[in-house]
Amino acid sequence: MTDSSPEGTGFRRILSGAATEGERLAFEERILADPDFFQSMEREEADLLDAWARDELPEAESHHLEALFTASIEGRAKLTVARGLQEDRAHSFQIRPHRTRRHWLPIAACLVLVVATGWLGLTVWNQQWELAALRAALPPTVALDVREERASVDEAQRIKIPAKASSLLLKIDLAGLPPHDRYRVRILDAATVPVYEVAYLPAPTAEEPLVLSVSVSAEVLVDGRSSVVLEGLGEGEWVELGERRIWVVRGDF
Amino acid sequence: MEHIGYQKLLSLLASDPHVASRAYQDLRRRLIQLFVWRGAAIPQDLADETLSRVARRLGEGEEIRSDDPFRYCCGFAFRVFHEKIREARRERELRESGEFLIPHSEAGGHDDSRLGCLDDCLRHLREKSRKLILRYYHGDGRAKIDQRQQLADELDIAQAALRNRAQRVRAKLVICVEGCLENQQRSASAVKAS
Repeated sequence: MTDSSPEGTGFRRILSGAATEGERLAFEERILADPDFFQSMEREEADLLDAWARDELPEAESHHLEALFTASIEGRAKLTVARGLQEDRAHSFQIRPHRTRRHWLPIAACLVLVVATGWLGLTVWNQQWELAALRAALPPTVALDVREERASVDEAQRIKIPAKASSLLLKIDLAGLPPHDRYRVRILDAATVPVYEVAYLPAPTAEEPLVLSVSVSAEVLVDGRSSVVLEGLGEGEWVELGERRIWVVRGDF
Repeated sequence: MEHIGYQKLLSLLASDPHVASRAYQDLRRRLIQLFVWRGAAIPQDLADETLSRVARRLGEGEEIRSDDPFRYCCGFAFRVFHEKIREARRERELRESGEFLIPHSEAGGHDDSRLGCLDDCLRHLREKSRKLILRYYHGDGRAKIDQRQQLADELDIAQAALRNRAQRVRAKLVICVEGCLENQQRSASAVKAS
């Protein structure tokens, strides 16, 4: 049925609703405690969904699976990918799986070389343009208004860090907050990513300017496709913005 | 309190903050998947609520009774996960089958917009990854098997390694399609509201 048929496996019994509650609990407990087991189950899930996409499952099981997965966006995405890949999208992208050699190949290769040289120049120019556009469109800056110990930002304020960003400017508004030796700033993206640790001590005086450090160690999914690892130590300064005093952390992460 | 709890949770997952951060994300991903497999409508929120509750309890001084903090933490998350499921049942979010199961109106079929999402996401993949995934799923039966063997030979890797690579690319695609479907849903809601 599939590459490594999930038929009859524990996983399939779980997803088809055939497993006992005891089996299910044991399975779920193991999923949480054993990352390797989880990975192997993800592979089984892919096989099962492929079988579903090829209409190879019994009708009742197929319906049960659809009901499970269509309940959430995460599940619908999995169904879409499974179905879409089975429909062979290679044609849409002009992928030619089996290459055939032809006598005109050397001539074509020369032509390709000429075109490629031009294309390379165009690509470099294009990448530079793209980078500039990204920087302009998505400045890697975010201001967090921290009014309570556990603050969150709304959808519009969510940080979007372009994959090519080399620096991040993090502004943290600590106005009205009691000094605290540790605040945690969570960055939310495709995944909830902890953890920015922010040391916040009493505000500096003119005589004794305060220099704070923020150590940063976080992995951020960018647009759910690639990831940037941010590591570093950022130093900052107080900036007066109207009546507000804002601690601005600068770092080249 | 929850803030302290999160620190405690991370330190239980690993002593190194960076490793702990990754372990946290992995645990969250596993929770999301469990909620998906239970048929929950909003698995991410439920996973976050689960972890938030774990953190709160740790912050309140939950006693740690294990020599293996990571396992303890996972076991704790498991208990809270089931609390959430029981709560959801009480709140009548569950159907008779015992799952969350709130079938989507579009059911399991597919439409152009969804496949449009997939094509967009395929376009955003690196070319190498795109070729790999498309060739991996190209063809049927014997042709597909041959295709995969050829691909493995070209890449000079074993079939199992090829499968893992394809699985990783597929996982990226799923995340991307998820974002696309979310955007579509948001736009559709905005249109309805206006």
